[in-house]
This record gives sequence, C-alpha cells and structure tokens, in this order.
Amino acid sequence: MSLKFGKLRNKQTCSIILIEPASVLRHTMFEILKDFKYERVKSVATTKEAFQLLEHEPFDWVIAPLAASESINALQILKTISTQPKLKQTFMTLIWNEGDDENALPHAFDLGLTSILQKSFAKDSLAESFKLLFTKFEQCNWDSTLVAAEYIRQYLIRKNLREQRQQFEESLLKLYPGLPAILYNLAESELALDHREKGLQLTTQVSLIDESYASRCRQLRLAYKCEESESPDAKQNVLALECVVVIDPDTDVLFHMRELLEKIGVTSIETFESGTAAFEWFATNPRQPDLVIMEWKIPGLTGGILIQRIRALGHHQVPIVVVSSLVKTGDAHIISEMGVDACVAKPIDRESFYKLIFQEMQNARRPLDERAKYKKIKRLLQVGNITEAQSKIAALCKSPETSLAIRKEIEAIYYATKGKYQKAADIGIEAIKVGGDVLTLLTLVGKSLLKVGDFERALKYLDKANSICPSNIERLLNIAEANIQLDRLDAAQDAISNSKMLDPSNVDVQQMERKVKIVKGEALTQTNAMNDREFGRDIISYMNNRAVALSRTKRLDDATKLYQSTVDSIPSNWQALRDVVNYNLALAYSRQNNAQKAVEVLEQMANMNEMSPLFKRVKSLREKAMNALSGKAELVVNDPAKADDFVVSAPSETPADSTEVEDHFTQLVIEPTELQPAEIGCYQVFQIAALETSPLLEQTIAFKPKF
Amino acid sequence: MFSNSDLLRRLGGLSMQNGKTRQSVLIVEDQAYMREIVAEDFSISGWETVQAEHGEEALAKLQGSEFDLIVSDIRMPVMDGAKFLDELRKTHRHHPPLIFMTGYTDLKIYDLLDRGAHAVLAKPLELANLLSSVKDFTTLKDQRWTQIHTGPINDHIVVTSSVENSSQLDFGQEGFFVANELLNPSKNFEPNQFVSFEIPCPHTATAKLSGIGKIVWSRQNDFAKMIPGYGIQYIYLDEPGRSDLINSMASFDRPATIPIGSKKA
Repeated sequence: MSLKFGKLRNKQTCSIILIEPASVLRHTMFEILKDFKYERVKSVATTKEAFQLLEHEPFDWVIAPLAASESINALQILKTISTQPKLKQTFMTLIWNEGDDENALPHAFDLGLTSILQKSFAKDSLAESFKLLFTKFEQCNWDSTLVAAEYIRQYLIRKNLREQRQQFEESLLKLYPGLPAILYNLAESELALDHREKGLQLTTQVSLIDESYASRCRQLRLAYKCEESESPDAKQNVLALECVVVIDPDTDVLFHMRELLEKIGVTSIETFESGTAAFEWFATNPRQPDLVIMEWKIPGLTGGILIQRIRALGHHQVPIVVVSSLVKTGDAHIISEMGVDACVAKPIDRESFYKLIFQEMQNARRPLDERAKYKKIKRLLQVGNITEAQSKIAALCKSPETSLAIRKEIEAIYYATKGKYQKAADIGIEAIKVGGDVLTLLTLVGKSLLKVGDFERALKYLDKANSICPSNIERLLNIAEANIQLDRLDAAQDAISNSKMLDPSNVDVQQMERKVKIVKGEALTQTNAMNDREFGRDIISYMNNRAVALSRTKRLDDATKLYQSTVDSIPSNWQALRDVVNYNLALAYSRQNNAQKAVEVLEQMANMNEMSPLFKRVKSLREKAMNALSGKAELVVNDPAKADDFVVSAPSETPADSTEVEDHFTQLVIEPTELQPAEIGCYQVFQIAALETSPLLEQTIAFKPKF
Repeated sequence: MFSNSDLLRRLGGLSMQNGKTRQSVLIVEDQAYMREIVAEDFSISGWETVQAEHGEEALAKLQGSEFDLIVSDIRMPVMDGAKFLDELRKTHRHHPPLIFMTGYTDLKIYDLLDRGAHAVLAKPLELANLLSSVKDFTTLKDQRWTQIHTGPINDHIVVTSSVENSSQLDFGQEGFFVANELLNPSKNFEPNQFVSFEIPCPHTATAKLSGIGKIVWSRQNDFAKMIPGYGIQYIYLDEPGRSDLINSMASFDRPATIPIGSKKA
C-alpha cells in the first residue's frame, strides 16, 4: 500500500524541515513555502541539525540537499527514515545541485526518496521548481510511489538504461495492475528495446482501455516506425488475470465480455448462463478464480443467493462485480454484505467494462483508498490469513487518515477471528457507536454473543440486522440457532422457513431444519438425515449434548425423550455412538428412578466390547438398576452436577475461547513493522542499487529518538 | 395507482379510438428465451405480439402488417438492430416507435437515437422502464407533451446567447441536443433527471421554445470528436411553441429522435 502524501496536502498541519546552508537562499525557500501556504517550516543550515530535530519529533516532510561532503548525507537520512518505525511516515525531497553525483540517485530512490527539486539561486526559477513539484503531486493523485516513479523514469531515460527501465515499468505494473499510464510507459520501454511486437500489443491494449491514450500511442508507433496493424497472436496478460468467471443468461453479453477479456490477455474464461451451472463449477473447482462478473437476474440460483453460496464455499477474496440494471435499492445491503465489490448498470460498453475491472483488481491486490484497504483486511481475516492481515492492519491503523470507525471495526473483526468473542462483541458495540458499518457490526456482535452463549442479547442484534436486510441466509440460520437454544421453536422455524424460501436446496438450511425437528422430539428417518456422515455426526452430537444439558438441569422427561429420538436416528452400524447415547439415556431413566426402563436400555448393550471405555460404567449402572428392580436396594446414581453423561463432540466444533484476553490488538498496532516495498516512494522497487552499496552509506548514523 | 399490467391495458384501450381492437408489437430478438419473456410481458397486458429472429425477418413481417411499436435487440445474426433501423427508414418513413434493448453495446446511445431509434433500454428489461417508454412514444401526437411533469425538477436551462447554427442546438422528433458551450453556468446533469428550459428555436413563431425535458444522454469526454453536450427528451411543451414545433416536424429531413450534435471543428 502506497503512502499518499495526504499530510503534505494539509498545509496548516504539515511540518517541514528545510535544509540549506546558504542563509539568503534558505530564507528565499522559506518564503516560497510560505507563499504556497505552508506554515510549519523549520529551516536549518546543516543536515546534522536536521537530524537532531528528527530525534526530537517526527516531521512530515524533509527537503534536503545531497550533502555528500557533510557528516550526515541525504542517503543516511533516508536510511534512517526507512528503518526507524517512528519516522516511517516522513517523506523526502532532494534539492539537486549541479555537480551532485548522479550515482547516488538510484540508491536514494530505492530508499524511498519521493522527488527532486532543481536548485536555483533566482527566486523566480526556484518558485517554478516548487510549482512543478506540486503539479506532479496533483497529477499523480498524491501517490508517493507514482511520483517517485516519474523521477526514476526520467533518470533511466536520460542515462539510456533501457533494460532497467523495462524491468522497472514491469515492477510498477504489478503494483498498479492495468493502469494506463504505466502500460503506456511499459510499451515505450519495450519499443526502445526493439521488442516491437510486445510494444505494439501494449499500445493497442492501452488505447482499448483508455481512449485518451489513443493519439499518444499513435505518435509512439510513428516514432518507432511501427505498422498500425495489430498482432493477432498471444495478447499480453496485462492484469495477470488467470481465471475469470462470467455469469449471464444473455449469450450476446457473454460473447462480448469474452472478447474483451481475451483482448487483455486473460488465460482462462469460464462462462455460464445460469446460477446453478456456475455454482456446480465453483463447488467442484477448488481453485479460486481471480474475478467473477455476473448479471443479477439469472436463472437457477438467483444473483443474491449465488453470491452467498460462493462466499460460503470459502471464496472470500475473489472480487465479485455485478453488471445489471435490475439491482434495486433494496438489494444494496445484501450486495455489499456479501462482498459484491461493484455494481455497474447495463448496457455496458467497452470503456466502462475495462474501467470496472481495473479498478476492482487494483482494490483487490493493492488497495489505495481507506475503504478498499479495510475490505482487503476483512477478507484476509475471513479466510484466517492472520499473518498477512496483521501488517496491513498495522499500516491502516497507524495512518492518521484512518477513521475511528474503521479502526474499531477492524479491531472487532480481528478479535472475532482469533476466537475472543466476548471482546469482539464489546468492541463491536463501541464501533457501532462511533459510526461503523451498522449491518456488519450488528451481525458481528450477534454472532459473537451467540458463541459465548448469551442468546438473548445475540438475538437482539441479529434480529435488528435481519430487519435491515432479510435475505442473508447465514444470519437467518444464526437466528434459528439462538431461538432453539432459548426453546423458542416457533421463532426458529420461522427463520428456517424464510431461508427455505430464499434458497430451498441449501444444505445448511436443511440441516438446521433437522435440528429443530429433533428438538421437537420428532425422530429422523435413517434415510434422509444420516446419509452424509459428517452431517449425521453433527446432528447426533447436537442432539445428545442438548439432552445432556436438559438432564443436568433436571428436565428429565425432556431429556429422556430427546435421548430416545437421538438413538432412533442413529444408523444401526454406528454402534459406538449408539452405546454412548444409550448409556446417557439409561442414566437419565435412573435419575427418574425408573429402574425398569433403565434396565431395558442397558440390556441392548449386553454384547458390549469389554475394552470399550464405557464397559465398566454400563456394567455398574446395570447392576444398580437390576438391584433396584429386584427390590434389593434403591436406585441411586450420582448427582447430575457431577456430569457423568457423555458429551459427543461434533466434527466441526471449535471450542470458544473464554480465557482472559490480553490487549494484543493495541500491541499489534503500535508494534514496529518493517517498511514494505513501495510503501513510500519506490522503496525497494527499483533494485538496481541492490548490487553495490553507495559509498555514502558506508557509515551508519545512530538515531536516538527522544519521543 | 395503476399496476403495470393495468397501464399496458390502458394503452391498449387508446387504440380503440382508432378502430383497432388491440395494440400490436413486433419483437425482434435472436435469443428465444428473451423473446418469450418480452412477448409474455406484453401479451398478459392485452397486446398482440409478433416475433422475429432478426432484422430481415422483421422487415418481412412489417410488409404485411401494421404495428404500434417495435422492440428490438441490437446484436443479431443475419441483420443486426442498427442495420434494421436504417433499412426500416427506407421503406417506412414514418415507422412505429422503435425501442432497442441491449446488454452490451459499443454503439453509443446518441448514435442510435440520431438514426431514429426512440429509446435504448437495458436487457433484461425492467418492466417499469419499458412501460414508461412505451407510454411516452405511443401517445398520439395531438396529445403529446401536454401534461406537466409533476415530479422533481433538477434545474432550469436558459440559453440566451444567439445560436449560430444547429451544431450547438438541434431539434429532433422527440427531443433536442444542446451543447455544453451554450450552458452558462456550466451544468452537470445525469441521465433521467428532469429540467425545465427556455431556449431559442427556429421552428416556432416566437423563435423560442419552453417546457420540461428529461436528460436522456450526457456526452462529456468523447474521443470520437463529437462536441460535448446533452440529449434531452421533450416531456412537456408550452403553447404556442408546442403546436408550431409539431407542425414543422413533418419537414424535418433527418430521422433523429434526438439529434447527435455535431463533430468538433
């Protein structure tokens, strides 16, 4: 993520260090900055003084000469900035003198230098230099990487370093997929290396993507004496898109989109005319595609349901764009909730199609604005990629431009991902108060409370979210779950019926329906419930554990009913499981003093394997029950609180973490993290300097921050 | 409030005045399922429907019968929508209103309207949009543009400077083109917004035209060298300008419903 010069735009608060040995000139520059409305400028004569200033407080912008002959030179300042976490957000501009050694430049840029100012002794031309600088900032939308790239490019062209320039432009393209300005420069660099075909390809593609480059490309082709004709073979894969899925019943649209995607070199394009066909592909292909483009109104599984199903498969990171005119305002919530990244109206034309794709690929790979960065982090957390998320969280939260609402939201999601549900719920509630995204947070808080067992409160939040957006199936099932736990079976059934109406063939919905049936005491027939081993075990465990809870709280009639229907639902060949539940059932009967029933049940386990862990207990309970039956002794069993019943673990269960929570989110955010490539200027992008160190960096200067 | 079907039925009733029993629509579309959906929308509302798979077939159907409306796809085999429109013009100078429907197109809407299409709607069709268009274009001429629009009006356009030629302000059968350079202060309109206007007009006795219009298209950066401006559909026109304009439309030599505006110098 590139650091924007955001702080430099805010002229009242931007703090600047200006270094210039000649006092008259120093004063002139100071005046010029004032003319540009910058108020907080400290001007000093030497780099040493500047360094000391930096040790006392962070500054936003350092404008310095190379100072090769001084005790501290500009490269050393750059090195310090890039390695000292407290100075990470300091930008530097070099004041270039005639006679300065150009060999220092590649190293400077590699260390994150953003720009160069031509030195002059005349106020007018100096002011012009500054004006040029600010114009460049504006043109590059205050993106420090793009600004630095301009200067590096000029240097490479001037020095006729063609190979390096081509490599540089390629590295840039990876950072800014599909950006026409970079594609154009890459085209130029290829033509300069006499890679005519590749260069031509790229010029054709740029003009396709952005018509405003058409005349520039024409001139470029003329300059290199190229023919206008397009090379029909392999297109450059300018966005490094390998697999794109397009879903639309309109075959004309599919045809056009395929053509457009082929023009930008996409390797594999999967097209589907219905939601069901598309879903089948997703369900059987483990690899996540790079992009999904879909119409909203599609046959089979409709748009909103298909998207939910794709995300439920675990494909949280693939960008999904909807191209349709039928999305109503009412659909906006489910659209954004399900992580639809963009929605564009039909009819769509070539230019808007390309703009859409490039924007989304940029957001997905290297998000540039706050909202896009937040989305990326959220998705990384959703797939459990905590490591990658952490450095991005640190970067986003440290940036002073990030709103409090976003910070809190990320924090809440972070804790939920780590299983600290109570904390997640608490922070989530705070986040709502400071203006975070209501729908996301209500759901997050509700789900977290569900995990810690606070069902009443969980429902409060989930129901509220549901009233805003009633078509989120996962949430409806959470509501059903909470209601089951609170014994509100009618409410649970309502939620399930609603989800059934939305997506009748959804397996999770069917599973939840079985749970409700079981709790109501209806046994499930062998055929429908237990075909899938995992689902079966999930249900059995659910039923059994629920019955255990009932038994321990002395609701013995309900418990025995539930145990019995559980046993009846277990396939006959799952003997071990049957035994466990039967034992629990017998125990419950014993607690009711029903020795007769207890014995009946235990008789069914007569042929139990002696090695089974249950064996002893079954034997002992059977003896007690038999004795009670024959009148020899009363049937006494352990206090239910002693928890003799067996709990069955479900295949998919992860225990909720209730341990004390260290405040590690804050640590995460304030912990020093390394500067990432291209985080500031072209830091470590332009690696020509990797070969030898500059003599200017031979000595390292110790930095002793006093803040 | 009328339901959608009611509205279509009401429109069907208008043709009772002409002595026909039901209004008829020609649906031109190569994809069968799409054609069927559109046909169903019309027929359950009382319209007679005739289907054609492409432009050539449509032209043949038009030889034999009269239609009140044509709804057509753009991309079709044998003869596509744009060619169909051009051919239609040759044989039927006053053809029934033609509404295009499309999911993707590189033909600009202002291009198609300039060639005589009445509207370009997105496919799959949103019924409300379709019906609104149908209502607009099938109302009889003597009743057109007489109802004041009661919804929100975004802005007011006044052109006071003298208009040199039709490249800056051009009138068509269903609306007009106005160049950005005539709008002072400059405006930023979005399609489907409504504006009231007072503009010079060479076709009226008072040399002025005033009324309410709907922004149909906006062209701001066009590298095909057309001058930037807006295409605005007549919604309501003040008298006597309205009658003057309608009378002079008979002598318009171009088929444009809304003119495209001219190339840059």
